[in-house]
Order: sequence, then structure tokens, then C-alpha cells
Amino acid sequence: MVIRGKRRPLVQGMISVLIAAVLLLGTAPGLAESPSNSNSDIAFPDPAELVFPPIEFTPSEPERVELENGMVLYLLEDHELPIVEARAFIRADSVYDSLDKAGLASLTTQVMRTGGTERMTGDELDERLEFLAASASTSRFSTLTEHLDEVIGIFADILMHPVFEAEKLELAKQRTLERIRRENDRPTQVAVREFTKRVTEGHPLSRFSTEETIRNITREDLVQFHQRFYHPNNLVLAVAGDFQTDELIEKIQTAFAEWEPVEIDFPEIPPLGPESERVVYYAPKQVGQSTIIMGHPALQQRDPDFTPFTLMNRILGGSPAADDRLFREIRARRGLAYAVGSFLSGGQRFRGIFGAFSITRADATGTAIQLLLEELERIRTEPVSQGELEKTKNAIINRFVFQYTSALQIAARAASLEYNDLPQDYDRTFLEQVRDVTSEEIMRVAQQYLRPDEIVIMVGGDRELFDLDLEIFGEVVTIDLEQE
Amino acid sequence: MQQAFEATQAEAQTYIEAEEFSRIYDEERLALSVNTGTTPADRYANLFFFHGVPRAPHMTEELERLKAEPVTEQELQKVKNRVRAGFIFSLQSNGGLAAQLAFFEAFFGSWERMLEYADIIESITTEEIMEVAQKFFIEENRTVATLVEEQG
Repeated sequence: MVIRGKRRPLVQGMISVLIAAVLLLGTAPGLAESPSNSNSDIAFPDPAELVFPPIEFTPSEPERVELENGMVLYLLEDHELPIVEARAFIRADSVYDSLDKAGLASLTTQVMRTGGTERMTGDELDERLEFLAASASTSRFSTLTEHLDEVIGIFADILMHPVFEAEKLELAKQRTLERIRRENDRPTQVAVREFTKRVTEGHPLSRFSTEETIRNITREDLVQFHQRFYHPNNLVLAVAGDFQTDELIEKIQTAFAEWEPVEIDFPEIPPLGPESERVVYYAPKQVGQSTIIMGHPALQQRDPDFTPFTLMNRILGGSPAADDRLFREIRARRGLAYAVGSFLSGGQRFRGIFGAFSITRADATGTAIQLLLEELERIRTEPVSQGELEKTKNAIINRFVFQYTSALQIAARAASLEYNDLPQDYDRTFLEQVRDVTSEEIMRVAQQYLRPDEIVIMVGGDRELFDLDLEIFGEVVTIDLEQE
Repeated sequence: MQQAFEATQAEAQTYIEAEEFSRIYDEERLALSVNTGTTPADRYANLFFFHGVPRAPHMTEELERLKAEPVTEQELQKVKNRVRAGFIFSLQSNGGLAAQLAFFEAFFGSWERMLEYADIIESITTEEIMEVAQKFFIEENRTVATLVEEQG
């Protein structure tokens, strides 16, 4: 459920780039000479020259229902398989953690599921769900249709009546502590975390749990966090699969009958702060490969410039197929990096974070930073070519279909749009806007939102081995990882 | 056709036994870890493997027990539910559906066997589990690999 700051998307972005890189390596060289081609009489046309009619695609519309207690449902029937699945969106995420108890929101969602309910202990829940071959948590459920009634009951119970067994809280805390202990062992993870902290400084998004904050959290904190945020008027639920809509509404109403709406006092969350001067943060790590991430807050999804900015980012370094400038320049042409790219992370509730990254051998660290900065400068000062622009537009439009391959994806997308206060026709409008973006607009948004002079540059690695002195990029602040 | 039917049934039973072992060993703490499965593939007669790190010399005890007494209805039903659900969930994506169609066509003679699969799983009895165990878990079929420390 819960959108968890900028952390996960960023890491995932990097991983997907890595995967894309591996795929490219694996397939590209072999294709031209594959035996099936050379031995066959069929003349295969060049895929790049194939012409297709434009894709006309209209996803089905889920039905929106608002229950009396304020719970919002997005329901989409799909009778192909005897399965029902759901995703829940609840505004109860880590931006509401207090500074000294960072990690509370996450522990609450975990232990709501593992720590049992008024009807069943945590172990009984595990056993029952395993028997039914179903799953349920605060953010989702999934079941065969034949067990739907029971699983909705369990799901409702987890949300309404968790008892937070002390033993299961302790287990969850120990696991979290173990994860934290290991965090500094992974250079990329360290760099992502430290980058996020610096780029969102002073904002709740910059809070990461530590041994201390986890130890501060008590069972009573979880009980209170649950009481404060888990109310039906704070829940958007998407359900898709094999059900009759009218019947399902009744089932959900029955399961959640005793859940009364409560006015929630959401803490005031400030917008992301203004940028400062360029600063270079250096996280010492004795490794042969450096992680470089540079970026700053950019803009929100609801900003009209978000569409041209998205295209700009794809051309620069955010192509899911690694067909972008950073990949070509830094990896393909110069062989300096294994993973390289740029991203725009988040942007739903706060301004999204723009960043460019490169995972580079230590003795090319300075060169890679230089090249990243040069590419940012280039896209700000030279218009992109028509070829790049058209290819990127097509990639976005053609890929769109794949975001809607299941009924659950469609229903969950509709629910997440409402959860993020975006209009239901957001994707359609976005696609229409994509078609009209010009190279002048790309340059304008690059100038307006990419600010190399105000960029945070995070470098994790072994400074002794770097090819250039970090000082040439700006004031250098060394991070003591023992203290983080 | 009859053959295909039996093959499907045997395959389903293999899955059930595999699940059953994991559970028993997890719960009774006889071993530090245990894995079961089949190898190398499913097209021809294959091997049921059983890999464990025993805490005491118990390894064959559970195999013998499966041969001697039926598993409980509750245990069997859980595994049936899970095998059947796993099959149905695998059909959700186009890729999963394609893989299953090809698998049933290649292994069991026709993709239409897929339509019977869920019913076959459901029809398996605790006696059949015992019969399969008695048929295959015999000493002549057994190869045991044990890693030991070389003595000085």
C-alpha cells in the first residue's frame, strides 16, 4: 500500500536498468547470425522498418463505489479465472513517523498482519491462509473465488482489529535491526539512502530508521498509530476478478460493518525545501566500484510540465530499454560504467526527485561525474533531435498497453489515482500530451528544472583510488557511515 | 489417453508428497533443513530427491511413516488447495498460460488435459499417497549422498 518515500522506487529503477543492461548484452550480438535465420528461406524484414498502425487501446473502466463509512472501492469484474485479488491504499505511511521513531509505520503494517487479531492469533492466521492457499495483509488480498468470503473477513479483521502480539512485534523489530545492521555492507544501498537523506533534508522523507529509532518503538506506539490512521475514510480499495459487483459490495459492507469513519488529524507535511548550493557528499567505502548519484527535487506529477519533463528524462537517461544518452555515452561508447541512467522518482504527493547515477570503477569516478554533468548541460542547451523525440514518444505510447495487462492492474491504477488526488483521466491526458511535446519544450523544462549548480552529488567509494579530486566539483562533505 | 491421465495423477502426487515432507520436517524439528522435489525434468521417469541436514540419524523415518500410515485429511487438503491454486494462478499471465498449454500438450498429449487437472488433484486420496510412497520409496531406489569430514 503505502507509498514509502523515495527509497524503493529509486532502488528498483536502478535494478531495472541493470536488468535491461543484462538483457541487451545477452541478445544483441547473436541475433544477426542465429542459425534459424541463416538456414531459412524466409526473408525476415528489419524490425526497425516494420510499420504498424497506431495502437488503439481503451482499458476497461472499474466501477467506483463509496460506502457509507467513507471507504472507496474500485471494482472490476473479470471472470476468466476463479480468482479475486485486491490492493488497498491507505494514507498511513512513513512520512507520518516521528523523527525519534522512524520505522513505526512500517512495523505497524507488518505486525497488523503477523501479530494476530481479536479472532485469531498470528499463528492461526498463518495456518488458515496457508490452508486456503490465499494471502492477506494490510495492503492486499488474493484468493480463489471459493474462499472469497472467508478471506475478505480475515482482511477486514487485520485492518480493524489487530492485537499486535508482543512476541511478533519483537520478531519484526529484530528483523528490521538485522536489515539495518547489514545496510552499510551494500555500497549502492548506502549511496541511495544517503542521497535521499541529503536531497530531502529537513523533510519527513529524509527519515530512515536506525537501531535507535527501532528500539524506541513500543507496542503502545503501534496501537496508537493504528488508531490514528486506520479508518475506513482513509482507505481506497481496488478489487478485481471473479465476482458479481453487487454481491461483492454487500460482502465488503458486511465485513466492514462495524468500522466507523473518524476524522483524522493528519500531521502537516511541508513541501520539499528549496535547493541549496551544489554540495558533494562523500561516503567512504573501501570498494573498487563507486556509486555516484546526483540530483535534486524537480516537480510534481500534477504539474503541466511533468509530461515534457518525463520525455526529457527518458531521452537523457531514463529509457527502460537503456536507449538513452547516458547509456550510450558513458557505458556503450566509453565503457566506464555497468549501470548508468537517470530517474524521476515519486512526484505524487511531493515534488519528485530527479537524479542521474552511474556505478563506475573507482579510477573512472571523476570522469563519470564530469560526463554526467556534461550531459545535463547538453540537454539544457541543445535541442534534442527529432529522431530521439519521435522514438521516445513511440516507446512511451507503445509501452502503455503493458501497464494494463490485468484487471487488477486497471483497478489498482484507478484507486491509486484517487489516493494521490489525480484525475481519473490522468493517463489518457498524459498520452495525448506526449504526442504534442516539441523539442523546444524539452529544452525549456530542462533549463527550468535541471539545475546543475544546485545539485547534490553523492559519491560512495574509495577516494584514494579516484582519478580526479572531488573538490573540483564543489565543497566536499565526508559522511561518517558509523554515525548514519 | 489413459496413460496421460495416470501420468498427470502421478505428477500431482509427487507435488503433494514434496509439500508433505517439508511440513513434517519443519514442524517436528528433526532436521535443520529439508528439501524435496523431482529431477531432472518430467518428460520421462525421473528422480524424487530428498535433501536434508539431519539433527540425528532420522532421515528415512518419515519416508517409512508415509508408507505405513496415511497422512491426515487436513494435511492432504491443504496441499491440494495449494497445488490447485498454484496451477490456477499460473494461468493469469499470457506467458504462464502459454507455458501450461505447451506443457500439457507435450507431456500429456493434449492441452485439453489442463481442464481435468484441478479435478485430478482433488480426487487424490490419502491411500494413494501411501501407495505411491510404498511403490517408490524402497531401498533399491535409494541413493544417499552424505558429506563427511575427512579423518586426519
